Amino acid sequence: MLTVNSQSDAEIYGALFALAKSISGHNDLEGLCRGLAQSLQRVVGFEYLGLMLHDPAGNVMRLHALTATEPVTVEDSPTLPIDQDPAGWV
Amino acid sequence: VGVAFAEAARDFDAFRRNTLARVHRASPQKRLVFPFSGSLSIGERRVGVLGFGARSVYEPAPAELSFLERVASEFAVTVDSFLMQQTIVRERDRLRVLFDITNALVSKLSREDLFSAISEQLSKVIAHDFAALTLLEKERDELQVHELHFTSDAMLPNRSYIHPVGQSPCERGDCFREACRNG
Repeated sequence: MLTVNSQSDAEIYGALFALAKSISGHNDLEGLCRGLAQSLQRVVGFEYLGLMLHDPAGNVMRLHALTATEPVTVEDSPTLPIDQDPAGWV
Repeated sequence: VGVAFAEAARDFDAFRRNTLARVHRASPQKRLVFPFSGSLSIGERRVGVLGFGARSVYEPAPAELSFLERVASEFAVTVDSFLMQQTIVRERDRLRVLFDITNALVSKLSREDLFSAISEQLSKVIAHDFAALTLLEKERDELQVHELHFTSDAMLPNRSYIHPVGQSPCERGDCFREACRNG
């Protein structure tokens, strides 16, 4: 559950600071997403965080990283045609 | 979960802002809800989507969406920078290999040394256990392996390095068959 409203500004800025530190400490997308999830979970409640990137070669959106509070198994690398993905809409 | 995540991304039916979308429907199999997904954009260029999922339904408040929108915009710069770095590193490696192969071409006199050097350099960007140079012997209509270079301890399944045309594993590519047909 999202809990941003119930957090103080200090906690939110603290989470953003942790996020900035986490981003600078990773050099791979999986690590970046893990760091993002850990930072945000201090102020935002969620179970899954996924990163889908545009693959220009096939003009599709491909799931690159999936972070969860519980172990997850990604069976393959799911893709979506760009016109079926929000990034292709906006 | 990954498949469910991708499937659920199809279920967007409303946007609160230009760059922030909400997912209303859940993935029925995994009972997941994807409350929102922020578009990762750098200017006009769309990099991807950052999606958040939960196992229960809720209505995000505007402040929450605004906060995550800000996070997504910052994260987009990081992801773009990471992807750009990957592209540059790949291009650097490619140019380095081309440079080293060019060096080998002008410095190695024997075919064996040259082939080994090329195979060694290529293994840095194209992983392979061995490389073979196979030439067509037109008189006997055979393919003969002239050079072999191993980049690992792998062994070939048999020691027969001469194949009649049409029976060589090297010919399985359409390009080679077409080249043989055209002489």
